[in-house]
Amino acid sequence: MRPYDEIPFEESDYSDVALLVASVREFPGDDFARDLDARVAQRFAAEAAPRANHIGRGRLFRWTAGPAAALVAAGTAAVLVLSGGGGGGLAAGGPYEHGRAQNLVSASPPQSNSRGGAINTTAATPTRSSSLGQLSAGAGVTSATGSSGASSDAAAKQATLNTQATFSSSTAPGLAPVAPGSKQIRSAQITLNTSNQHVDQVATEVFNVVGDEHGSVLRSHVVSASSSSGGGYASFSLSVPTSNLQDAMTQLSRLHYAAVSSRVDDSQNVSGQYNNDQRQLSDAEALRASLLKQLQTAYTTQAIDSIKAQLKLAEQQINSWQGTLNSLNHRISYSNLTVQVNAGGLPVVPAHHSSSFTIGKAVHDALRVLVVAAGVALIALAVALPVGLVVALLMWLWVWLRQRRREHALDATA
Amino acid sequence: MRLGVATREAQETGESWGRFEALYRSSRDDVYAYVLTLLRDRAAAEDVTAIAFERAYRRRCTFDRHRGDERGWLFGIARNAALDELRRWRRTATLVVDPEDVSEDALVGADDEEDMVVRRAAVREAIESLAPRERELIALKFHAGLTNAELASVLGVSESNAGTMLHRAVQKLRRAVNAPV
Repeated sequence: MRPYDEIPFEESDYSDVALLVASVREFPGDDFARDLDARVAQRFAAEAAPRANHIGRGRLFRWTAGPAAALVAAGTAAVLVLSGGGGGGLAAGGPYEHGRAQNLVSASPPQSNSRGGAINTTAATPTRSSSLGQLSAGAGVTSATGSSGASSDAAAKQATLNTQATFSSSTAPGLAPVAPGSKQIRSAQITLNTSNQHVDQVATEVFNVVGDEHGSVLRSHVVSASSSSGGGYASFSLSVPTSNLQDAMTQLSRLHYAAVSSRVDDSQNVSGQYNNDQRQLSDAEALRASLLKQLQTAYTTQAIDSIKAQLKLAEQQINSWQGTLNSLNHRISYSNLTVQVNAGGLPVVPAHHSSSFTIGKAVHDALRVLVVAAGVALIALAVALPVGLVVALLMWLWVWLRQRRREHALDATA
Repeated sequence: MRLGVATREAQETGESWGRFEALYRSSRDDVYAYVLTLLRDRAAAEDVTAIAFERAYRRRCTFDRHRGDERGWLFGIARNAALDELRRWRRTATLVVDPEDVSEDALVGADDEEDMVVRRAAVREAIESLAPRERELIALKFHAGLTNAELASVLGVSESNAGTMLHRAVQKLRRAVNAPV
């Protein structure tokens, strides 16, 4: 029912105005009405696109669909990139991926920070610590007391190469080959994951490996925890003969109740420093021999006292250089190995070093896939959320501006 | 299975088209009258009316019954199309289209009684004297027959605000019509 049907509106007070307005109401011409009827009957088939563009529909599409498509493409690319990274992470884990995981070196930081909190909160849990002595592994190898040593320090430092091995291959061994005759200080870190109830067993296995490889435990810290409370943790600082380091790492990578989380191998070339220290020692010994000869031919008391003083200095230098060389030799012969065992993560299935399919392995794999997928989804969400908010804000701003211009156009007709 | 889906889609399309056609039949003249009130130009009003229906046809799937009835939705589209046309006029030329004197055509042969002619002329003059927004309100209310809620939806204001604005416009129109010449 329309006003021109002379039917009152919901506000009966406006009936007079309705009649007034109806009296001056305009109707479309017959030609236009007929034409529009025909177009509607044809469902705007033929001329839809040009007419829509006439009023800016094409512009609307350009301004909205273009950026939207670009954003969707960028988001898809980001998710794909992130998914690729996640897949790589997935390949690094797995309890029956030991053969591969032992060679993978992760650049991720050790998880000691997060585990530290767990240790503090589980103070009531049984804790046993053992300190089995300290070796002077950290002694400075470039310290020189003689005047002749200082001149070649720069060259020695320059010759010292510090390399950190990062292996991405799944087949190459973690330790870099050593050139014949070169002197290298090696160290390694390995982070293992296990379940809370297996921390003690893993610790025992680590001790066994150290014994098998003729190494020694410099420091160890083991925190046992029940599976419900969580927070189990163990760390070991080991000294292993460098010749056995590779075997020790291999064995640690194949522990029964642990899976490798990350592994870092460091090697420092100290050939230059070693040669320099040896030369300094030889010089000091030659100086002492020369002074001893001079002492035999000295007649005056003053000359004898002077030579004896020089001899004393030379012997001090010899002792110093010998100490330095011994320390360096020890650091070359024995490598520091840090083992960190984290518990409370994914359940670790005991490894059997076989490729047979088991339900436990399948469940573990499924869990890992879920965790990685969730991580990728979270990262993608973290990217998409701010982008989406910005896009939504821009869209809202654009709609608001367009509406404001429309209203302004209406006001301008006054 | 695929045939069933196709049949259902065809049914939905048929229902959608049927609703649109009914909306077109019941609203064509109202939309034209409303757009003409905004643009005051017959040719432009015809164009914009056609555009509005075409837009409505293309976007009929986006209509949400929970946000109002179809007439309010249609007049919202018509309003935007008309305002876009006004903006286009402003952009393309500074020459403002003079309000077409639509009264002459309407008067000729419409009513022979002189009083009625004078009365209509007075009403037209009174409507012309209103502000654009008031003219629009009058058109939406009395040409389109929208409720206050639908008015509010089309204009993007609250319902009470729409009612207040309408009341003021009506009062102003009454005063203008009854004002001594």
